[in-house]
Amino acid sequence: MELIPWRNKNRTDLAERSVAQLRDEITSLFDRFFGGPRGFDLGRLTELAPPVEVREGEKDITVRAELPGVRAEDVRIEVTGHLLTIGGEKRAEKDEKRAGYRYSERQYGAFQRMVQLPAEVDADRVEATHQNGVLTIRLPKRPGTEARRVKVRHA
Amino acid sequence: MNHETQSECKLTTTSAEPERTRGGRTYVPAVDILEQGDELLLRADVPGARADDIDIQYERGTLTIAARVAPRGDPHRTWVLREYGVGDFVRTFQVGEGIDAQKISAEVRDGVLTLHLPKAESARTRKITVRGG
Repeated sequence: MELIPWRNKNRTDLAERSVAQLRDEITSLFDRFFGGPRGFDLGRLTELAPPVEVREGEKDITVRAELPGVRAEDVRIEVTGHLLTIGGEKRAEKDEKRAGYRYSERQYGAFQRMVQLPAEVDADRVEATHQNGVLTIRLPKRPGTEARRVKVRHA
Repeated sequence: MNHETQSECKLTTTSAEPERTRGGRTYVPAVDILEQGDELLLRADVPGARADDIDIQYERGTLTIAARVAPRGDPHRTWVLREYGVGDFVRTFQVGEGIDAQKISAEVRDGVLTLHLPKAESARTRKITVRGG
Protein backbone atom coordinates (compact mmCIF):
# COMPACT_ATOMS: atom_id res chain seq x y z
CA MET A 1 0.00 0.00 0.00
CA GLU A 2 1.56 3.26 -1.14
CA LEU A 3 0.67 6.89 -1.40
CA ILE A 4 3.14 8.58 -3.67
CA PRO A 5 3.04 12.13 -4.98
CA TRP A 6 2.50 11.92 -8.68
CA ARG A 7 5.09 12.28 -11.40
CA ASN A 8 4.32 13.79 -14.71
CA LYS A 9 4.26 10.71 -16.91
CA ASN A 10 3.85 12.66 -20.10
CA ARG A 11 7.23 14.28 -19.81
CA THR A 12 9.24 11.38 -21.17
CA ASP A 13 11.82 13.39 -23.04
CA LEU A 14 14.95 13.09 -20.97
CA ALA A 15 16.59 16.31 -22.06
CA GLU A 16 13.44 18.26 -21.43
CA ARG A 17 13.11 16.69 -18.04
CA SER A 18 16.63 17.51 -16.94
CA VAL A 19 16.21 21.10 -18.05
CA ALA A 20 12.98 21.33 -16.08
CA GLN A 21 14.66 19.71 -13.11
CA LEU A 22 17.56 22.14 -13.22
CA ARG A 23 15.15 25.06 -13.45
CA ASP A 24 13.20 23.74 -10.48
CA GLU A 25 16.36 23.26 -8.49
CA ILE A 26 17.46 26.82 -9.20
CA THR A 27 14.00 28.09 -8.30
CA SER A 28 14.00 26.18 -5.05
CA LEU A 29 17.49 27.49 -4.27
CA PHE A 30 16.28 31.04 -4.83
CA ASP A 31 13.18 30.39 -2.78
CA ARG A 32 15.22 29.06 0.08
CA PHE A 33 17.61 31.98 -0.08
CA PHE A 34 14.92 34.63 -0.21
CA GLY A 35 12.66 33.11 2.35
CA GLY A 36 10.56 30.73 0.30
CA PRO A 37 7.24 31.36 -1.37
CA ARG A 38 5.37 28.84 0.77
CA GLY A 39 5.24 27.86 4.37
CA PHE A 40 7.84 28.61 6.97
CA ASP A 41 11.34 29.78 6.41
CA LEU A 42 13.88 27.33 7.71
CA GLY A 43 16.76 29.62 6.86
CA ARG A 44 16.47 31.47 10.13
CA LEU A 45 18.40 29.87 12.91
CA THR A 46 16.54 29.33 16.13
CA GLU A 47 12.88 29.60 15.29
CA LEU A 48 10.55 29.33 12.37
CA ALA A 49 9.74 32.71 10.85
CA PRO A 50 6.66 32.90 8.67
CA PRO A 51 6.84 35.06 5.54
CA VAL A 52 4.68 38.18 5.65
CA GLU A 53 3.12 40.72 3.38
CA VAL A 54 2.77 44.39 4.31
CA ARG A 55 0.55 46.94 2.61
CA GLU A 56 0.20 50.59 3.40
CA GLY A 57 -2.90 52.72 2.98
CA GLU A 58 -3.53 56.35 3.69
CA LYS A 59 -4.84 55.66 7.18
CA ASP A 60 -3.60 52.19 8.09
CA ILE A 61 -1.11 49.40 7.51
CA THR A 62 -2.13 45.81 6.82
CA VAL A 63 0.18 42.92 7.70
CA ARG A 64 -0.66 39.37 6.70
CA ALA A 65 0.97 36.04 7.42
CA GLU A 66 -0.03 32.55 6.39
CA LEU A 67 -0.15 30.41 9.51
CA PRO A 68 -1.89 27.18 8.52
CA GLY A 69 -2.60 24.91 11.47
CA VAL A 70 -1.97 27.65 14.04
CA ARG A 71 -4.89 28.35 16.35
CA ALA A 72 -5.92 31.95 17.02
CA GLU A 73 -5.23 31.54 20.75
CA ASP A 74 -1.66 30.47 19.99
CA VAL A 75 -0.77 33.72 18.21
CA ARG A 76 0.88 36.59 20.11
CA ILE A 77 1.11 40.06 18.63
CA GLU A 78 3.14 42.95 20.03
CA VAL A 79 3.69 46.48 18.80
CA THR A 80 6.58 48.56 20.05
CA GLY A 81 7.14 51.83 18.20
CA HIS A 82 7.79 50.94 14.58
CA LEU A 83 8.26 47.27 15.33
CA LEU A 84 5.57 44.59 15.05
CA THR A 85 6.29 41.16 16.49
CA ILE A 86 4.23 38.12 15.54
CA GLY A 87 4.97 35.08 17.64
CA GLY A 88 3.37 31.85 18.68
CA GLU A 89 3.40 28.16 18.32
CA LYS A 90 2.31 25.77 15.66
CA ARG A 91 1.30 22.67 17.53
CA ALA A 92 1.24 19.22 16.09
CA GLU A 93 -2.23 17.78 15.64
CA LYS A 94 -3.33 15.59 18.52
CA ASP A 95 -3.09 12.29 16.70
CA GLU A 96 0.41 13.00 15.44
CA LYS A 97 2.23 11.51 18.37
CA ARG A 98 0.72 8.11 17.88
CA ALA A 99 0.87 8.08 14.12
CA GLY A 100 3.81 6.90 12.07
CA TYR A 101 5.22 9.44 9.64
CA ARG A 102 5.83 8.25 6.13
CA TYR A 103 6.60 11.59 4.58
CA SER A 104 6.88 15.04 6.12
CA GLU A 105 7.22 18.54 4.70
CA ARG A 106 5.23 20.62 7.16
CA GLN A 107 6.89 22.31 10.13
CA TYR A 108 5.90 22.55 13.76
CA GLY A 109 7.07 24.47 16.77
CA ALA A 110 7.53 28.00 18.02
CA PHE A 111 7.74 30.81 15.51
CA GLN A 112 8.55 34.49 15.67
CA ARG A 113 8.68 37.21 13.10
CA MET A 114 9.49 40.88 13.45
CA VAL A 115 8.31 43.43 10.94
CA GLN A 116 9.51 47.00 10.59
CA LEU A 117 6.43 49.16 10.09
CA PRO A 118 6.57 51.95 7.51
CA ALA A 119 4.81 54.45 9.80
CA GLU A 120 3.97 55.08 13.41
CA VAL A 121 0.80 53.28 14.51
CA ASP A 122 -1.75 53.58 17.28
CA ALA A 123 -0.94 50.43 19.26
CA ASP A 124 -4.21 50.61 21.20
CA ARG A 125 -6.32 50.28 18.10
CA VAL A 126 -4.55 47.39 16.39
CA GLU A 127 -6.94 44.61 15.31
CA ALA A 128 -6.12 41.08 14.30
CA THR A 129 -8.15 38.25 12.80
CA HIS A 130 -7.15 34.68 12.02
CA GLN A 131 -9.26 33.00 9.37
CA ASN A 132 -8.62 29.83 7.38
CA GLY A 133 -5.00 29.89 8.47
CA VAL A 134 -4.39 33.48 7.36
CA LEU A 135 -3.55 36.08 10.00
CA THR A 136 -4.54 39.65 9.16
CA ILE A 137 -3.40 42.55 11.33
CA ARG A 138 -4.72 46.06 10.77
CA LEU A 139 -2.70 48.83 12.33
CA PRO A 140 -4.21 52.32 12.21
CA LYS A 141 -1.61 55.01 11.67
CA ARG A 142 -1.19 57.57 14.38
CA PRO A 143 -2.91 60.74 13.19
CA GLY A 144 -0.57 63.53 12.28
CA THR A 145 2.27 61.24 11.28
CA GLU A 146 1.18 60.68 7.69
CA ALA A 147 3.54 61.77 5.01
CA ARG A 148 2.74 65.32 3.90
CA ARG A 149 3.08 66.56 0.40
CA VAL A 150 5.07 69.76 0.21
CA LYS A 151 4.35 72.10 -2.60
CA VAL A 152 7.35 73.78 -4.15
CA ARG A 153 6.58 77.31 -5.13
CA HIS A 154 8.23 79.35 -7.77
CA ALA A 155 10.50 81.89 -6.22
CA MET B 1 10.46 0.78 1.33
CA ASN B 2 9.98 3.95 3.28
CA HIS B 3 13.15 5.37 1.82
CA GLU B 4 12.00 4.77 -1.70
CA THR B 5 8.73 6.52 -1.03
CA GLN B 6 10.54 9.53 0.35
CA SER B 7 12.93 10.05 -2.52
CA GLU B 8 10.06 9.61 -4.92
CA CYS B 9 8.13 12.28 -3.07
CA LYS B 10 10.98 14.73 -3.15
CA LEU B 11 11.51 14.35 -6.84
CA THR B 12 7.86 14.94 -7.50
CA THR B 13 7.58 17.99 -5.33
CA THR B 14 10.01 19.96 -7.42
CA SER B 15 8.98 18.75 -10.86
CA ALA B 16 5.24 18.86 -10.33
CA GLU B 17 3.59 21.20 -12.79
CA PRO B 18 -0.01 21.75 -11.86
CA GLU B 19 -2.31 23.12 -14.48
CA ARG B 20 -3.14 26.79 -14.40
CA THR B 21 -6.88 26.85 -13.99
CA ARG B 22 -7.55 30.55 -13.84
CA GLY B 23 -4.43 31.96 -15.34
CA GLY B 24 -2.99 32.88 -11.95
CA ARG B 25 -0.08 31.15 -10.26
CA THR B 26 -0.69 27.83 -8.59
CA TYR B 27 1.30 26.49 -5.69
CA VAL B 28 2.20 23.02 -4.49
CA PRO B 29 1.06 22.71 -0.88
CA ALA B 30 3.39 21.25 1.74
CA VAL B 31 2.10 17.87 2.88
CA ASP B 32 2.58 15.27 5.58
CA ILE B 33 1.66 11.66 5.02
CA LEU B 34 1.25 9.50 8.07
CA GLU B 35 -0.05 6.12 8.96
CA GLN B 36 -2.46 5.73 11.81
CA GLY B 37 -4.13 2.45 12.57
CA ASP B 38 -6.32 1.41 9.68
CA GLU B 39 -5.83 4.55 7.62
CA LEU B 40 -3.33 6.84 6.01
CA LEU B 41 -3.62 10.54 6.84
CA LEU B 42 -2.66 13.17 4.32
CA ARG B 43 -2.28 16.70 5.67
CA ALA B 44 -1.83 19.67 3.37
CA ASP B 45 -1.28 23.35 4.20
CA VAL B 46 -3.82 25.32 2.18
CA PRO B 47 -3.99 28.72 3.95
CA GLY B 48 -6.84 30.91 2.75
CA ALA B 49 -8.98 28.07 1.40
CA ARG B 50 -12.44 27.40 2.81
CA ALA B 51 -14.15 24.00 2.72
CA ASP B 52 -16.24 25.04 -0.28
CA ASP B 53 -13.13 26.00 -2.21
CA ILE B 54 -11.53 22.57 -2.00
CA ASP B 55 -11.98 20.00 -4.69
CA ILE B 56 -10.77 16.43 -4.22
CA GLN B 57 -10.82 14.00 -7.10
CA TYR B 58 -9.90 10.38 -7.35
CA GLU B 59 -9.59 8.66 -10.68
CA ARG B 60 -7.84 5.41 -11.52
CA GLY B 61 -5.27 5.54 -8.77
CA THR B 62 -4.63 9.27 -9.01
CA LEU B 63 -5.75 11.56 -6.22
CA THR B 64 -5.84 15.29 -6.92
CA ILE B 65 -6.38 17.96 -4.32
CA ALA B 66 -7.15 21.45 -5.59
CA ALA B 67 -7.89 24.42 -3.35
CA ARG B 68 -9.01 27.72 -4.79
CA VAL B 69 -7.70 30.72 -2.93
CA ALA B 70 -9.31 34.08 -3.52
CA PRO B 71 -7.01 37.08 -3.80
CA ARG B 72 -6.84 39.02 -0.56
CA GLY B 73 -7.28 42.48 -1.93
CA ASP B 74 -6.87 45.73 -0.09
CA PRO B 75 -7.95 48.59 -2.31
CA HIS B 76 -6.08 51.85 -2.06
CA ARG B 77 -3.11 50.30 -0.35
CA THR B 78 0.35 49.94 -1.76
CA TRP B 79 2.79 47.08 -1.29
CA VAL B 80 5.55 47.58 1.22
CA LEU B 81 6.67 43.96 1.54
CA ARG B 82 5.56 40.86 -0.29
CA GLU B 83 7.31 37.67 0.74
CA TYR B 84 4.84 35.14 -0.59
CA GLY B 85 2.42 34.86 -3.44
CA VAL B 86 -1.25 34.05 -3.20
CA GLY B 87 -2.80 31.52 -5.56
CA ASP B 88 -4.51 28.18 -5.83
CA PHE B 89 -2.99 25.02 -4.40
CA VAL B 90 -2.84 21.89 -6.54
CA ARG B 91 -1.11 18.59 -5.92
CA THR B 92 -1.49 15.10 -7.27
CA PHE B 93 -0.73 11.79 -5.61
CA GLN B 94 -0.61 8.23 -6.72
CA VAL B 95 -2.69 5.95 -4.54
CA GLY B 96 -1.74 2.29 -4.25
CA GLU B 97 -4.18 -0.56 -4.41
CA GLY B 98 -4.19 -0.96 -0.66
CA ILE B 99 -6.43 2.10 -0.24
CA ASP B 100 -10.20 1.91 -0.27
CA ALA B 101 -10.79 4.91 -2.54
CA GLN B 102 -14.56 4.83 -2.05
CA LYS B 103 -14.13 5.71 1.60
CA ILE B 104 -11.73 8.64 1.34
CA SER B 105 -12.99 11.54 3.46
CA ALA B 106 -11.69 15.03 4.16
CA GLU B 107 -11.99 18.01 6.46
CA VAL B 108 -10.35 21.43 6.66
CA ARG B 109 -9.49 23.48 9.70
CA ASP B 110 -7.38 26.62 10.12
CA GLY B 111 -6.08 26.27 6.58
CA VAL B 112 -5.01 22.65 6.99
CA LEU B 113 -6.69 20.01 4.84
CA THR B 114 -6.81 16.50 6.31
CA LEU B 115 -7.63 13.50 4.14
CA HIS B 116 -8.46 10.13 5.62
CA LEU B 117 -7.53 7.27 3.34
CA PRO B 118 -8.77 4.01 4.84
CA LYS B 119 -6.76 0.90 4.11
CA ALA B 120 -8.51 -1.70 2.03
CA GLU B 121 -9.66 -4.78 3.89
CA SER B 122 -6.84 -6.81 2.33
CA ALA B 123 -4.15 -4.37 3.49
CA ARG B 124 -5.16 -4.17 7.12
CA THR B 125 -3.09 -5.71 9.81
CA ARG B 126 -4.99 -8.52 11.34
CA LYS B 127 -4.46 -9.93 14.76
CA ILE B 128 -4.74 -13.66 14.75
CA THR B 129 -5.43 -15.33 17.99
CA VAL B 130 -3.51 -18.47 18.60
CA ARG B 131 -5.52 -20.97 20.43
CA GLY B 132 -3.98 -23.52 22.69
CA GLY B 133 -5.07 -27.05 22.16
